[in-house]
Amino acid sequence: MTELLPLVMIGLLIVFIFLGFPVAFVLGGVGIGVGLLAGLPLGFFNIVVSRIYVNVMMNWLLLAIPLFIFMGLVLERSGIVRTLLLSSARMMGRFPGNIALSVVIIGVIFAAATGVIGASVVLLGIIALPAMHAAGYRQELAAGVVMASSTLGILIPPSIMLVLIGDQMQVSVGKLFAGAIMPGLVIAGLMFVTILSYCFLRPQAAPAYVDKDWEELSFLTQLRGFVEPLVLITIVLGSILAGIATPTEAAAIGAAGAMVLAAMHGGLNRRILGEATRSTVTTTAMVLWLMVGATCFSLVFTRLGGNDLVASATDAMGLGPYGTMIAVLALVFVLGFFLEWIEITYIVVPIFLPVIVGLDFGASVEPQDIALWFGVLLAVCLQTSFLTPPFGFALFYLKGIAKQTISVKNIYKGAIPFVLIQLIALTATILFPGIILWLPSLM
Amino acid sequence: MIGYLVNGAGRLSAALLLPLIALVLIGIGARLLGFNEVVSWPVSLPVIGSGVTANTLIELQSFLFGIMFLFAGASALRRGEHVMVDMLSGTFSDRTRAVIDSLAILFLMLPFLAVAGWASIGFVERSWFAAETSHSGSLTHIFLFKAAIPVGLFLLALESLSRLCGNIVFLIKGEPVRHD
Amino acid sequence: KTLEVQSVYPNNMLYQGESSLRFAEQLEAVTGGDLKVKVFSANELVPSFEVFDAVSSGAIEAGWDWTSYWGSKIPVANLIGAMPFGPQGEVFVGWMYQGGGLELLREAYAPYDVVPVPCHLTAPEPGGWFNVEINEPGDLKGLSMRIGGLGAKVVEKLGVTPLLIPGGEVYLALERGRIDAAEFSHPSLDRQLGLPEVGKYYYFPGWHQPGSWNSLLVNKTTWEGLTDAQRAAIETTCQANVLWSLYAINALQGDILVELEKEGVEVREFPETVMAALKTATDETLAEQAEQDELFKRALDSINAYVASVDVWNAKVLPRK
Ligand code: NA
Ligand code: NA
Repeated sequence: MTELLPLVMIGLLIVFIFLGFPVAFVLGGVGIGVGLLAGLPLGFFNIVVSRIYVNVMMNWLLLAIPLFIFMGLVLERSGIVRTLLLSSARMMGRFPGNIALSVVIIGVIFAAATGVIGASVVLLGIIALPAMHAAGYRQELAAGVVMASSTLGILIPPSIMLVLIGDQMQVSVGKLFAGAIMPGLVIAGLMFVTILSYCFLRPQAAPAYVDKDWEELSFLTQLRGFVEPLVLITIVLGSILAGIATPTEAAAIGAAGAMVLAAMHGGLNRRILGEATRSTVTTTAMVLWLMVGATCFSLVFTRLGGNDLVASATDAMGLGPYGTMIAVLALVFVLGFFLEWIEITYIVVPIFLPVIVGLDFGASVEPQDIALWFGVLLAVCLQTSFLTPPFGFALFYLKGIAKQTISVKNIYKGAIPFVLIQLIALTATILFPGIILWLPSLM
Repeated sequence: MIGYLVNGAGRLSAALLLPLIALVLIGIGARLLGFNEVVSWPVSLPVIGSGVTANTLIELQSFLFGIMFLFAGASALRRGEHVMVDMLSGTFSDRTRAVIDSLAILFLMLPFLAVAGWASIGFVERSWFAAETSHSGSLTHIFLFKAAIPVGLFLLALESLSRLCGNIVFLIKGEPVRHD
Repeated sequence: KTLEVQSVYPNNMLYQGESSLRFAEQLEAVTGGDLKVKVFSANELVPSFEVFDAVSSGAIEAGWDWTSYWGSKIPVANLIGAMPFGPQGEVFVGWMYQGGGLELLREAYAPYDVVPVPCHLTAPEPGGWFNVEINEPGDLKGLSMRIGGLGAKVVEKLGVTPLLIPGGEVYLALERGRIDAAEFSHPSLDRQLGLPEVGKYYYFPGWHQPGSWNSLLVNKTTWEGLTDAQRAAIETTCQANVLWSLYAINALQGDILVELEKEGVEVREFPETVMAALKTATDETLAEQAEQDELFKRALDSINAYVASVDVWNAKVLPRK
């Protein structure tokens, strides 16, 4: 009977999460509650505090999280992202779909330096939706482009999702960043080509956007608005990939750089700085308290034999290496219907990582590369799940900011093509691990 | 009163962010210039000892970061910023939601905070008793930093009690309590 | 009875992880199954740096450690864990069991309700991978090096910035020049981590830890709850394990070193001037630490006295090379 307690934990977790209580405290509460009911001595829970201290508080890697969030918020609040979008649309000229393609480009450049999907969707939505609406875009297209582009940013480095996955898996974050670049570009490329051909075939669905203020913008201003953020991101990413800076250090450089850029554009004042710092610590607290709850949950889960249970259940299914890998990714995909990526990372990785790294993929993936490969696959899979109806988080956030202009049905319809693109890319990276492993192998 | 404490801790957290960025940048600068010792002085001060080295900076960053997120947890809860799934609960009536929220506070949140809080006090005591230093030995009085854990948990307990009271008042009187 | 042990090493780690599992197996065999041991792999329940605290509070019954990990709470643990230019092999074993080491260690841990049973003596580790030539003490100035423990304090005196970089990041940091040098482990593990690909020179000797102790840590209440026979079985099995740790990997490392040289690794020796500078800095560091902590001073004096008396005898009885 007691060997089934880990399953009880998962059951309770799901029930309470769906009742709408903050997930961090559901994780912590279920961990402690079931632990006590299972008869673990009170003294055992001293370990909860040890784990909070070492795994969360003293984890220097996690310091990158507030710094990347702050960088994104400063760029957003100071109007730099808006300038970037408009400059890039302007440079494409009076071409159908110019604003949609610009949104994709921004997604690639930095949409999710903020790392929290909600923030990116809201940011891009607020800036780009009115423009697309004014230009007379089809609602589905406008919605799909905004959602897909803003979730792209969380895969393409710098990405706090990869920082957390690296920490959980004990894989070098630099290598994860390198590994995610190619899949990210493949997805972005597919999106770009899809939108381009769609606009070419049906120009009336995405008429060219022309802003009345454009005439006042000099070419130099546009170029500046475009190049400056690009340089900042290149410095941040480059210093990590070159191994000169740790992700944490690079994030601090990015945060400082964002403040310098904002100051250059006259967008740095006490109010913006105050809002950005306040918002940064709140989001950081949200992410890290979730980790606190998760570390408590997984401690009790492990102690009650949950890991062994999962490992033997996976063994018993006899799926073989690819079958097991796909089963885990499918589980992540389904969980993604309901949960945010952070929770999934913290629930799934500790349970399945030991199983996955023990698999034998023969010559296609060397044993020491499995964790890296799986880490990036997991990231692609999580990114997809933000878009999957009915419960994608990107869908919810977009619904939140576009209540009047876009119907829920159109939001769902808009997401579908992009989910298909994601799934094509995911399949490709499973079949051809080189897409992920090639860049890190050059490091 | 509780709101004052919780929001104050949140503001303190926010105020730590810019110094934190500065510390990381100073660390990068010192490394690029090849300094290990950034500055030193003849007497031994509490917490930072008699000098600042590369390791002091790194460890100080971790501690500031820890205090930052621990102290901000309660104000994030107050602002409703913790991740939650509201697709089912969104369809519940306000009354049902208040009942569920109260039960979750009583049976999940408070037990978690009580057990972790109790353990964290022993954790700080043992560190104080051992006169623990940081692992590189650059920082002393580590128990002060560790004490951020019980403080953070305590702030959350205060905030959830205040939420619980609010829910109960609402369930009895039928009108929502306004938070300051 | 099953004793639950949280290790600071991954169970699948060569030598170190192997050792705790070997101890578990032997103890069960020796006691005819009366005492079993379940070893939790590193971080499975308790994070490595918190194992002592968890055993102290009774959160877990026992731990498997590297003594130096507790230096931030108990300074003398740094010395017993790894004493730069300290004793090694049978001399360190002699000090532990005959020269007063065990009593000192037990005394140091007693206020925390932790009973240490020395269970493994890690063989000396190389001086580390360097990407610059070290021809004179001045060459160390300004280097960033991954190194911990007392060794870190020693090189700091010679102008090195010691950094503790997690194992997974060492490769990249060394390759891209974020650090100039790294001390990690024995050749077998260093090779597993890929360090030969990114480190130019492999420097010897391993001055910073000629011998380092690993112990089984048992919570006092748990320890007192065992029968005399069970306690004796644990201590004796640990002594047998110490013996194993002394011989288990030496020949293997030699073979690997020869292979590494064939693959193009330059194996170097620190010049005498550098060794002399390291020795002077070590003496200063040890004296400073001894000044700050009474137990550290007693342990240092005790080790030095024991080594001196063994040296008197060894100088006479052993044939000169
Ligand atoms: Na990104
Ligand atoms: Na979803």
